[in-house]
Amino acid sequence: MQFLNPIYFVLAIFIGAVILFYFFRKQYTEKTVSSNLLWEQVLNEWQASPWLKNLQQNLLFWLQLLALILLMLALVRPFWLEDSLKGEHLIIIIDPSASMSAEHGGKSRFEMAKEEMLDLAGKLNGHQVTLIKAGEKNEILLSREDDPNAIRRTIDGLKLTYEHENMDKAILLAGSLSSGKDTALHIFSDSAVKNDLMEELAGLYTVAHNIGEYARNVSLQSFGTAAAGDGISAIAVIENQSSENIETGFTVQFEDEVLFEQNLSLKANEQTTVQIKNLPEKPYYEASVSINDGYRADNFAASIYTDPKPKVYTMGDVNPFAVKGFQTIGAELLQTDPAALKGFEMKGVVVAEGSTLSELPELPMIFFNTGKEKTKLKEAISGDEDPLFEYADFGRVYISSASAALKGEWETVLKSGDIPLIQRGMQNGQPIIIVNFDLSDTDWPLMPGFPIFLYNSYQWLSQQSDFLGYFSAGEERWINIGKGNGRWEIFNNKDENLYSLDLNKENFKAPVIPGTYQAVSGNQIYYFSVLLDEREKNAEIAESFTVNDKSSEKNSMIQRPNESLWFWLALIAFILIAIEWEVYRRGHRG
Amino acid sequence: MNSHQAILGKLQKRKIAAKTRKRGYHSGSRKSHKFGSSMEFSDFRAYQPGDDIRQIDWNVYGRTQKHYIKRFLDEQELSIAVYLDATSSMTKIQQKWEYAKALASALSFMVLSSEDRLFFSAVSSAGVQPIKRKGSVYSRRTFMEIQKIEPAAQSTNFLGCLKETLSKHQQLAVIIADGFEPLQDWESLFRKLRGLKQEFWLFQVQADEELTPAYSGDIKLIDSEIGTAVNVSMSPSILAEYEKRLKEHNEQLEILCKRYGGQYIFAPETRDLQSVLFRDLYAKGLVR
Repeated sequence: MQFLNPIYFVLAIFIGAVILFYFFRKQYTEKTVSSNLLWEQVLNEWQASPWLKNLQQNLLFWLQLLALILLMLALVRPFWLEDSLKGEHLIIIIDPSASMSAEHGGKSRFEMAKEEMLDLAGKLNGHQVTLIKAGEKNEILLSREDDPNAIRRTIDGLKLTYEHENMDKAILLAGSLSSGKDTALHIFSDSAVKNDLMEELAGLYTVAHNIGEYARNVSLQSFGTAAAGDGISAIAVIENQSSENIETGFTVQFEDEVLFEQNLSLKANEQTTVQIKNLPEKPYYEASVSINDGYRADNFAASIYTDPKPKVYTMGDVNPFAVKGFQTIGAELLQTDPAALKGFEMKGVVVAEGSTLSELPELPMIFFNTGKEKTKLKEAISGDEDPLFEYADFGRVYISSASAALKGEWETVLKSGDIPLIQRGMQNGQPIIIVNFDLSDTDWPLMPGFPIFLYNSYQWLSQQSDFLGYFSAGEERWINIGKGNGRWEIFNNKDENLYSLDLNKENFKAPVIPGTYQAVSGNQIYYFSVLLDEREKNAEIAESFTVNDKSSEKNSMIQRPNESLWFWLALIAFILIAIEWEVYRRGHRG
Repeated sequence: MNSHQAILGKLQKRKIAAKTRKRGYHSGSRKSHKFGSSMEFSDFRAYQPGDDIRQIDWNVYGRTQKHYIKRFLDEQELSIAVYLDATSSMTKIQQKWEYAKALASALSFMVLSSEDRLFFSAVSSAGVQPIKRKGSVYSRRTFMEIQKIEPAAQSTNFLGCLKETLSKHQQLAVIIADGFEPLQDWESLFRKLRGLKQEFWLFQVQADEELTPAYSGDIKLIDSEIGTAVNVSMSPSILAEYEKRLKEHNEQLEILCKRYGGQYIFAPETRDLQSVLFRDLYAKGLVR
């Protein structure tokens, strides 16, 4: 057996009410009086008093009559036509992209879209609603939901994600979710354009609500820094997307320190390139356009100065195989002497040999452990799947003996039995790879895997620097942290703690708002930048439109019968019967 | 005790004034229509042989030379019965019971101190031995005894019991009750008393709680005598209805009482006992 309207099981509360009535019926407090003689007479008279009796009978009559009329009316199922939204099933696509953050009169396009959606939700009458958030990855927030409160809550809880909207995919998704002709598609965006896709969607009735007004937008299209000669130079491209000339200020700064400032006069619909030379070396640079246009998200860009190809320093005597290896992979190699390095500022990767890690600079390092205590290897070499050994097969490598492992917390990536051969970890907040055997004890340098291993190590060590990279809004990415502290605190450039991550358990997730951020793990500070998607760097607005509107109505409303009346009629009838029961009960008390 | 003394002092000076001409068998302080030895002159009568020669009025003989006997009226007692309703309906409310006992004891004291014969009975289904006394020597003791009467546990049907204990040879029956009985029962009692040629007084004692009940809410009223229960949802209108009903009942009882030649004295608990004894009774001419 199944139920058509299981919702009306809530009427069981009336059963509860009746039981409650039963429990809370009149409780008479007992009182002994001299004689009941007169009270009995009074009550007999009271109950027999004609007007009450008449009223009681009349009341019963009218209540019964009314209840029966209402029941009859409920059974004939009255309905009337009322304005209603077209379609049984509404699919709403919301664009959470950065351009939706453009403001007009103190309200962002996204907020206005939310208001319009709530307005739409207010007109629902038994419709099912599917809500799709058209981000880079489409998210279905509601699926055929018909609870108005849940719909309202979900709409209220929507947030911008600053990514680029993937409208085509969202429309395809909507098409696959649609249930034929009863489905209406509502798109809330700022730049939805009529395209063939919408036409193809089996004639899906589609309304695109493009929200927003024309904005006098200035966009910082790109900003980058690079080493040029001795100093660092930067370049910025600024576009005036409006049809008038605009004066604006342009600033480059690090935290609160202004490094460069210039007033620009931008011609209508033209790009202006600004070149900046000899910037002081800073962890990162923030460029911003000071004009207060409607769309703020594209007035800002950050660039983190990073050496994509750090130099390689060899410390003292290093096995010539290693030196050759680094030369093979095209790294700039500098041979140095530890004694001469005092007070010299180095930046790059260090290759060193020896039996102790002390007296070495605090830099990313490959260390060949050539300690005197050597152990003959007897067991086969086994290693983990690791980025260091990508394409570098250890299967046929022969290693005769290994030096004793150094003290420290290392992750062993290659071993023979219990003897660690290659280890890696963090030393003084810097990445380190330790090779626990002498290159003269192995035929490894003769294998093709050796330079690949060096390249992998070089990449790994340079990636393990301060700069984590550029992220798109809300991007999730796995970051190798070795066995280090997985607890990361994310701060914005105003030093506010945004959230914390445990990278041993979860992926690194970038914030959604574009800008420069710091990730603090232990005593190490990393920088990373969240960039606005290139496609979001303009705030243009498309026209709202409707497609596949087959009926003659101009708006999205349709006449729909409202059949909910019978329920209320039946409810009132029920209440009347309850009142009647009470009247009856009062009439027959003794 | 002092208040008692004051009341007793005042009561001693009063005397119950019964309208009946009937008198008891023994001598007392009340004028009798019979001839006797009181100081009250009645008439003369010719001497008949066999009369007491001491009664010959020699002054009349000296004037008329005929023997006449001078006759005096006799002074005889009055038998007065006091019936106190001691059923549960009276004893349930303490103040009402105290009031009724005080009234009964004061009347009994007045009877005894005026040298009349007292028959006192606390009428209840428990069946208490009635007090039969005469003479002012007993007056105080009886007063105290009546004050000390304890209510019987559960007792019903005052009028039924009263009919059983009713003493036939009384000139006056004083009934102290609350009157919460059907009127036809009262009527049959009154008829019986009239048949016995007894004068009767009815003191109707009612508590304030009964006259103007201050109940509210839903109350299950339980009869103190027969235990029947009535559920009443109190409301001002139902209370007004009750009060109206009570007034009607009391009025009808008074009319009934008067129709059978009795005296009706309404003595609610709120009315001061002394006012009842020294003002109401005096105004009605029931005490002198």
